[in-house]
This record gives sequence, C-alpha cells and structure tokens, in this order.
Amino acid sequence: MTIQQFRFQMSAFLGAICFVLFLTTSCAKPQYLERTNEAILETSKKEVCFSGGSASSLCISLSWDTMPTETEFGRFIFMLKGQDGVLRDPGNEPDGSAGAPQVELPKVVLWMPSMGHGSSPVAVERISKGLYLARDVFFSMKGDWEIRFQLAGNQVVHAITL
Amino acid sequence: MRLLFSGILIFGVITGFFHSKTAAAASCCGGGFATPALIVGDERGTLSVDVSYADIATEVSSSGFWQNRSSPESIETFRLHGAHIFLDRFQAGVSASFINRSRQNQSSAGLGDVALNVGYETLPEWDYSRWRPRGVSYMTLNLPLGRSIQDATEPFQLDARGRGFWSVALGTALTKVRGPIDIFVTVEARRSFVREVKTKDFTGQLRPGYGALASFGVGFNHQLTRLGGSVSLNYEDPIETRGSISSTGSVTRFVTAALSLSQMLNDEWTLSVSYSDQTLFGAPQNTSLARTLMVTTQHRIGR
Repeated sequence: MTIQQFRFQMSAFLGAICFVLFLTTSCAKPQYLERTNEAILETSKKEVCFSGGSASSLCISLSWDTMPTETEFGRFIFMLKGQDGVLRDPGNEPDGSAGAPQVELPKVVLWMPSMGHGSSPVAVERISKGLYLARDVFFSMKGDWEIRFQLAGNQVVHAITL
Repeated sequence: MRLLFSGILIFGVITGFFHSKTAAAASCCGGGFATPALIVGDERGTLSVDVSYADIATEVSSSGFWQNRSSPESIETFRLHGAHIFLDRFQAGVSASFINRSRQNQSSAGLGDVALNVGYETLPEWDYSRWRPRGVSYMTLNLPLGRSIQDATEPFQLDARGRGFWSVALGTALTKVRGPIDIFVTVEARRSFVREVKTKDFTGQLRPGYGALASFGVGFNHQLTRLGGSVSLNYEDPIETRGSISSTGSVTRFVTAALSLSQMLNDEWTLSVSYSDQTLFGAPQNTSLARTLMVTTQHRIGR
C-alpha cells in the first residue's frame, strides 16, 4: 500500500465516521400533536368582542355544529351579542317593510397566519336575530388557524389549532 | 472515464437540487422554487426529463408539532429542463414543470413555476488538483407562472402549483471527483419580492423575505453506475401580510435526504432513479413533509 492509498483510505474512513455521526445526531425527533375534538371545541368557546367603530358594542361566540375533517366541510353557529348579552344584528334591524335596509352579514375568513394564506370561502347565513350559520368551513391543512369575523371594517379573531 | 464520471455526477447535483426545492413546499402551498438547470460537467448542453411522484406524509406546524395526514395527497410532476454552454464558460438554462395534485378523488393539473438561470464556471478544472473543486456559480430567476395558494380556488386548493412570488437566487455548485468517489456541495441564497394580492378573503401585500439552501452529496461510482446520497437544508423567511389581514408569518425549514442510483446507458444518455424523504432529519417547521420517487432521463451534448 502506498502512502497515497493509505491517505485516501484514511480520508474515506474519517468521512464515513463523520457521516455516521451526522446521521445519529441529526435524525428528526418528531413531537406529535394529538388533539381531540373536545380540545378544539374548548378553545372555540371563548367570546371575542369587536373594538372600535360601529361594531364596538358587539361580541361573538361560536359553537361547532359539525367539525371539519381532512375530507369534509364543517359548520358552526356563531352569535352576535351586545354588551348586555342580548342577541343583536349588526346595523339596522329589518322590520319587514319594503325598502328596509338589509342586515349586514358578518364575513368569515379562515386564515393561516404562519403561511399567509386562507382556505376555501365560508358561506354565512342568518338564522335569526344575532344568530348565524357558517358553512363550508374547511381547513386545507393542519396547524394554527384563525377564524376571522369581519364586520363594518372591523374584525375579531378566534384562534384555533387543528 | 472522466467524462463518464462527470456525466453521472450531474445526476447527484440535479437530484439534490430537485428533491430539496420542489417536493416540500408543493404539498401545502403550491410549488417550491423551480430548480435551475445546470451543467457541472464537460458537456456542451444537456436536456433532461424528470417524472416524480410525491406523497404528502406529515404536516409540521409553526410550533414544530407533527401531525400525520389521514387523507393522502399526491403530487405528480413532469419537469423538462435544459442548459447550454455559451462563450466557453458561461451557460444558460431553463426549467419548467407540469404538476398534477390529487386528494380525495379530486385532482388539478397545470403549469408550475419556471426558472431561468445563467451560470459561470468560476472554478474551471484546467489542471489536476487533489483538493481544488470544480465550481459553477449561477443566478436563477423564478417566474411565478404557477397559480399560488393565495389565488387557488379549487377544492383542497389543489390548483396551487406555484410559489406566487418573483424571486432571484444566487448560488454556487462545487464538485470534486477523487477516484471512485464524487462529492458535491451547493449553497444558495434567494430573495423573493413583495406582491400585491386581491382576493375574496384578502386584499393587501404579501411580503416574503430571504431564503437559503445548502446541499451536500456523496457518490460512489463503479464503471457506469453511480450510487449517491445527499442531504439538503432549506430555509425560508416568514411571509408577512399587510392589508385587510395582518400577520407576521413563521419561518419555514426542512431537511431533505435523498438516495439515487444512476446508470449511464451510453455517452449521451443516462437514466437515474432516486428516492427522497423529508421526515428523517432536522427539526422541520411550518411545512409539509413528503416522500418522493423520481425517474430522470438525461441527454448530453458533448463539446
């Protein structure tokens, strides 16, 4: 064996050692998050209130009717209440007369803040005074999401982790 | 023999590049950055076709928690890329992808981002040196021709196939052949540019930042066959949003490990099969993790 061959074999051996060290120290150590629907429902019970503007006296709380899955849309009911706890519609209330102003429906936007994108559009329907149904709720991937309620130029956020 | 080695070595660099840049980001947010087409050997030109199948296995939140997918999603990519030498040491290349994403019996296909790159052989191999590598420095322009996730409208956002940003990258690929062993190292820095968005859900600016890539690979060559492995580290700054929704975003990082087997069919054609996995190494964050199988065919044009 020549000196050059010896040096080459030593270099290859050291390189292999470094590689094995790299493998053993750099292996991923996944921390899996196991969340149940109950845990998600618990985080959704918190009431959030608009601050400022014409909606400043309104607060929102939501209740899941159907939790969304990876393959199916979900739906939830949310309530708009005044600070006195009474259900209210934003803006003028309809009195049934012709030409009466329509209730401004709150807009619901699903947003993933860590990645800067949303998800499928959410449809909102009015059930009764201060009571609304949000359907076609779908989160395109797991992680931390925000359910944003937008009304009269203001918005409040329900944070949710899937 | 040296020409044969350099030809096979290209596959190590290409494999390391492709698996590191395109597989992961494609899963959740459209496409990753388009991969530059580079000549790192003695060829005058190359034309390659890649066909890959990626399975999205896991999602990692911005807090670093892993969650397995119960609803599988697959991404099939057909990529065409070529490069050609001009003025002896300069080269220009183009890379384009056609992507098909499938999930829950629904699918969407279309064009992904396109990359244009120019390169310069900064470290030519004019004489033998035991340690001095061969180096090609390059600049890549990413054209956001694929629809971004912010603009996606189909179910599961399957029509998101692009990054959505114009970006410029500067990088260097270093290669060295010592006997039957070849080694490559690639480093790259990139900058994505601000973009105005107006959709039903969001009106405002998306403000990405800087990103970086570092790859290292080793190959063992026996006659016309090469067995290689590579590891790539990828990092992206948070995407900040300003406008109707303000958020600061979160960094994205992941590590891609790849194994490849290449066979030179003759002086002009090479066939390669490679497998990559993003669930094995590192501490990924704010990303989806994929396992990808890729078959590459390359035609080389000699000088």
